[in-house]
Amino acid sequence: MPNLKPERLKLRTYHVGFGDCFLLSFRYPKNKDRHVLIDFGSTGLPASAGDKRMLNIANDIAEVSDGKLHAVVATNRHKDHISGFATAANGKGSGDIIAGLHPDVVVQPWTEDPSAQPDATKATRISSLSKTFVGALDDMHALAQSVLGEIERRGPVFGAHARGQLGFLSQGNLRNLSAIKNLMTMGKRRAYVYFGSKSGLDDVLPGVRTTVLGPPTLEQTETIRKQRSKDPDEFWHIAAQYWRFQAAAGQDFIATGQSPFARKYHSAQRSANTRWFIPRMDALRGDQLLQILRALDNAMNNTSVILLIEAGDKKLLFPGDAQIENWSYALQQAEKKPSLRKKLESVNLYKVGHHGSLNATPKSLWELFKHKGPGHDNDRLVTVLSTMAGKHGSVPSGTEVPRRKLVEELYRQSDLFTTQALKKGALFHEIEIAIR
Amino acid sequence: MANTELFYVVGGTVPPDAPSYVRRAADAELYKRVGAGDFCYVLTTRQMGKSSLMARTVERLRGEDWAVAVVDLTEVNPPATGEGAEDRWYYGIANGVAHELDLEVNLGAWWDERSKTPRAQRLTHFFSDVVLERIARPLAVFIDEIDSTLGLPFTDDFFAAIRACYNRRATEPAYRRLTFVLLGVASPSDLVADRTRTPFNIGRRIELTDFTFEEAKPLTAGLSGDGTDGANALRHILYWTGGHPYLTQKLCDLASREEGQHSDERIDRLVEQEFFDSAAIRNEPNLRFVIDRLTAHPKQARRLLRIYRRVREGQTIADDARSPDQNELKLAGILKPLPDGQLGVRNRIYERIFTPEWAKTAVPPDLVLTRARRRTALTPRPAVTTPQPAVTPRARGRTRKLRIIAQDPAIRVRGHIVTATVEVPAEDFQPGPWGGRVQVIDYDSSTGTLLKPLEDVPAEDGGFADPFEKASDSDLLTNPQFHAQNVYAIVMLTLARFEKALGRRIAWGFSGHQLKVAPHAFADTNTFYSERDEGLFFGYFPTAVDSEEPRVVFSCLSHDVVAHETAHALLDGLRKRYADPSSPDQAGFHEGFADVVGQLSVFALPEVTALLVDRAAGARGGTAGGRIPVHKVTPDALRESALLGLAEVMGQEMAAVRGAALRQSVRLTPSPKYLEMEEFQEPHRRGEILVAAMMNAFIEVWAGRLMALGEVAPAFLDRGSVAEVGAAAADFLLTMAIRALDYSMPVHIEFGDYLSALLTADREIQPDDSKYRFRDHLRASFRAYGIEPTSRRDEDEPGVWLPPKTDLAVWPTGKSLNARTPFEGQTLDSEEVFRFIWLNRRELGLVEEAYTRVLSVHPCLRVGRDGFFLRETVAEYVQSVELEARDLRRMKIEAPIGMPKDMPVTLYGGAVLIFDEFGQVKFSINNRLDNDTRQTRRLKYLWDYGYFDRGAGRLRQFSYLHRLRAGASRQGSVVEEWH
Repeated sequence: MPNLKPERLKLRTYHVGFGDCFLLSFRYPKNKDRHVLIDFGSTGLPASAGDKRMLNIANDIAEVSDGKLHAVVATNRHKDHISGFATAANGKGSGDIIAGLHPDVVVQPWTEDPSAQPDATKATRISSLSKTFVGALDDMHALAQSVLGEIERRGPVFGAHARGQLGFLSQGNLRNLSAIKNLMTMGKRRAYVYFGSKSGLDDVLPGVRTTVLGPPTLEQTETIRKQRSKDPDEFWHIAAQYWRFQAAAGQDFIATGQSPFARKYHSAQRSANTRWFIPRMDALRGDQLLQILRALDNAMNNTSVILLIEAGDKKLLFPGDAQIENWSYALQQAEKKPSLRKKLESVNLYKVGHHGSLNATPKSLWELFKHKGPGHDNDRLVTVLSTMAGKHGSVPSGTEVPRRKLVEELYRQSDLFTTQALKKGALFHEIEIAIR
Repeated sequence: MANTELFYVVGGTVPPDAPSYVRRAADAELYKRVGAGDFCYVLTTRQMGKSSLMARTVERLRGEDWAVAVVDLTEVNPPATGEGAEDRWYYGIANGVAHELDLEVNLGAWWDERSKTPRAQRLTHFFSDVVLERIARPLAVFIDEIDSTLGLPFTDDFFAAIRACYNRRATEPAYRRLTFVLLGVASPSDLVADRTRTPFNIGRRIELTDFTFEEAKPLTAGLSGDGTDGANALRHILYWTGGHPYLTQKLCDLASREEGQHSDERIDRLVEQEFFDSAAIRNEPNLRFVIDRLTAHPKQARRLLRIYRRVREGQTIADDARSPDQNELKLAGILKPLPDGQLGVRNRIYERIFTPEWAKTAVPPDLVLTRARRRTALTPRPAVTTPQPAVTPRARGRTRKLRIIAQDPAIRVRGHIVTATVEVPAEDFQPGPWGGRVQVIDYDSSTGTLLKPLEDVPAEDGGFADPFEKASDSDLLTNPQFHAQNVYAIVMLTLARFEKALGRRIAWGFSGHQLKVAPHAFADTNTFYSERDEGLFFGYFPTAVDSEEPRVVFSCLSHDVVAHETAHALLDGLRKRYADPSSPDQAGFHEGFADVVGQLSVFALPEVTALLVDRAAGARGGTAGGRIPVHKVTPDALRESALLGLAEVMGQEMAAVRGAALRQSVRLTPSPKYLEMEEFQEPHRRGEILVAAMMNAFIEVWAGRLMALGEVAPAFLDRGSVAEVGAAAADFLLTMAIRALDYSMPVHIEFGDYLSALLTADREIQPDDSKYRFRDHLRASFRAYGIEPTSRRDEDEPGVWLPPKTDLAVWPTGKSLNARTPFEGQTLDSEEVFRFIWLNRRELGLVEEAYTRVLSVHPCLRVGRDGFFLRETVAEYVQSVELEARDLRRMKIEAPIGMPKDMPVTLYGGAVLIFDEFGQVKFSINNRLDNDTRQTRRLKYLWDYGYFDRGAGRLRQFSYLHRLRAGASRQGSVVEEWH
């Protein structure tokens, strides 16, 4: 099938609240379809969704794909991208249904490569430095788990807003073991990708070219890192050590609420002279936890797969949750390589990064898109935003997701579809795109 | 009145031949027992006449051709902590004996040659091989103030050694000539715990009792005359004093100074005036001793006072020599055994003063406070009404000594944590420690645990105590109250450094006076100063489970980290606007300066430099005899061994707290390129350039100064001197670094400004820098990193700020400043200074459309390295103006590309005025608001880094910057975000 090419494609954006779930269906001649599922997760379903939303979506995917997925892409391991892949003990979970669609290939970032895990014994091309980094990701999960314990114990002292944010961020960063395992086993093949690597999709999507723009490997990151005069090994080791200690603090003290000092040193009474200070410290602790959780949330986001999919004259950009750190390498390469720059310039459909947060659609990337503009013509850039307001960040600090300023710009310059516009009870929104 | 000027002896030793010496049974007893070769001890309360008894006995023995040595342990006994303390102590005793006996022996060499023999054994050998070899006569060794051994960890061996001398009499007859007498305020069981090693159960206790009338009769001599029957007067005096030797001598002395008859009424009045007046109670050392001794330890105090109260109320309590509490009451001198075997109040003076009511309320204030809190925690702290007589501290020094961990617990010598004893400004603190400037509140917000505060329990002599003076390593690590002491001491030490360097009191960066410190604020690697919360917050975390030695790392135990955070709080108080975004330099300055303070504070401890020098000398480095080869103290070698050495021995885990700042700055080989590199636009990396320039200057000064030391052998220097010079150089440089702040403009500092400030501050107080050459080394070191002084002055002293160009001739009084009028009151008033600035606004280069505010006026008295004084007054003012971006062009300032024309922009400028003692302006160190080059640069930086955006506030928080520094996350480019 050397000249097989898709004729059109459909993008189904499922309504998962705060999360991502996209089904890309390529229509080939003779009405043969090939389906790629990009992410399937949520950390906050819409109120109207009911408790079967994820199962309903899985069943819908099974139905639309006629029992066969050609590829699954899990851009990053955050809950809002993979929770749908979780399996159930009775074998009837949404993840079981997806596994039953026998994807030919499962695409994930290089950080998910089993041989990149710190305990991997198999000798691979993965550097020990990369393993250190992947180990740090594990520590971040562990810390998120411990922080949940602290929030349960001490939540009220942080105040309602901080408590909500903390709960959301720690939930979103828990390790989702069954989903991870399912992703590791469901496909016939697995592709662990990084900037410039093969996407693993070329074989299953004839006539479609997929370029991997992220995540960069550590070595790639090093070439653009600001702190390059420092020994990179030392930098990454210190960073990894930081998370190891945080995780250890989580395990020993935060999760349990256990003081490091013997009981005889504990004071039974809070004397008057400590009463001004203690509530301030509690509030400060809430702020600190938020900083820590945001940092680890960002680190995870920056492991996101960024795919640029080209079919005929159409280019679709799926950056997962990638933020600026992740994008930097690709953007720098685009400055050097006109061909890459050109591709980015001519993107027709952009999946808005990280649910519309303030730093996942780098302004310099946005500036590149040539199809954007105020005029409503056929060629106009299409943007797709899967999000839910009120979950992440805050308006006063200018960190709300989706970021209002960005959404305004998307409306002004593109045909924006946002899942927030879906009617109550609607399961998905579908866009059809002609390919020439 | 008899001529009694020198008759009575009140306090101190009564000379053996004094007519007022009162002979008691103990005199004969002690003389007899020593003569018989018995081991004797006189352990009783103070002012009982122990020293007088000793003096008299010594004189009698000497008269009979005995050799006698008297060793006062308080002279041997400087606080015996730290390495070698034990050795010094034992050597001190041997040396004291040798000196007293005029022995001709090179004791130092003798002692050192036996360095492998345990010290106590060495002491026994000293008696057998040195003393008894040279002295053929009978020999008595009197050891006075034996209670100063209390609390020393190694003195059990000393008592065992005495016992050994007696045990050996059986096999070595020479020992029969040697006997010991111990004197002091203690009970035998306090002195030595181990019954099998104590000499007290083989010795004789000599009881010193209060004077009986018969014994005291010699005292009547001073009272007779003027028609007075001396015996009657003495009887009435003894009625009050019960024969208490000191009180009796004192009352006799007072009475003898009175004209006329010594009637009973007159003596009563004397007693009333002297002892029952409240001021007298505070001033009378004897009463103070009793009170202090009883209330020294709050818990014990309650028990003691309860017993005392019962006795005082007339209950019968049998004397029990084995009861520690009774012994303590006897040692305090307040109770004594009566002939009927019961305990009684020692005398009527005490009875009158120490009433049952007093005993009820004399519980130490700390304890009262704790109870009061428990009862009514919400009401404001009750005023602690300390009853009279109250605990009144004795004359205490201006500093108090506290033990801290020298750098951090990771630095060990032979497995032990290296500690240091530092002197901090004296104060007795409330539970916390909660002193005048610092309140430690040990609350852990991740577990919600409040830990008990450290209480300040005075030492037995009423002086300041260090509760952890002898604590074990394990106690240092696991007792949070030591951690509280550690942070308290380091914060106070850092504050004292700043106040000393600047010659005045320094405020924190917030409106209150007391910095709150949470030593275990959260289970987190982060550590920071927060102005909003008026405090320092230190995290703790476990080393990971897979580490070799799992343990908890407490960042409050790292000296440099605590000093670093304190420096932030102080710098924030001195230069509020330095926390504002302005330039990469200013952003890096806070971090870099705090690092310099942290690191130089550590190097200024001789304990640390000594350790690093030892390491540099190495095992085979020819350190025998305390020498170090010259080639190991070149600048390069010191950089490697001291700077990098310290970085390496510091807890590796601490990199998660402070990054690897020291290591990185050492590795930052000099180059002018860093300033322009993008990575060095980030605050903590920028700060490293400043640290590198300062620390390299420190090394050069250190190495340079060593060249002036004489060699102890060809190509060898004395190791101790090398360490001392290093600590001194660090101390001086740190003082300079702090003092330079006063010569730095209040807004928009850049590294070149700071260099000029450093040079000027030092030149003003230390015109002659030829000894250390700090300024030459600083200029060279900063230049190597591309930093030139802002002041282009190029004459005698390059880089120093220039005096004002024009005469600021108008002084508020209308007089010319040249009129050398003393300059006092005016300087304290910011209104006066404002008026001065206003009248001189043109000369000072003020922008007329801007508002001007005087921030501070501080008179200072600074002291130079050579003790030279400098009086100055420092005044700061800032100017500010609010504009829109479109107005900038008018001031020749370029608006950043892309900035909307209606964007509100605030411009700041300002200066520090340094007045000399006559009110003449020596320097006006100015960053003019209309400096177009700087303002253009600043606005571009702020715009590029997103500081005009909402939400950018977090970028200014130290907590956030410190987390970035530890590598937790990185600052994304703000320009890419949707602000």
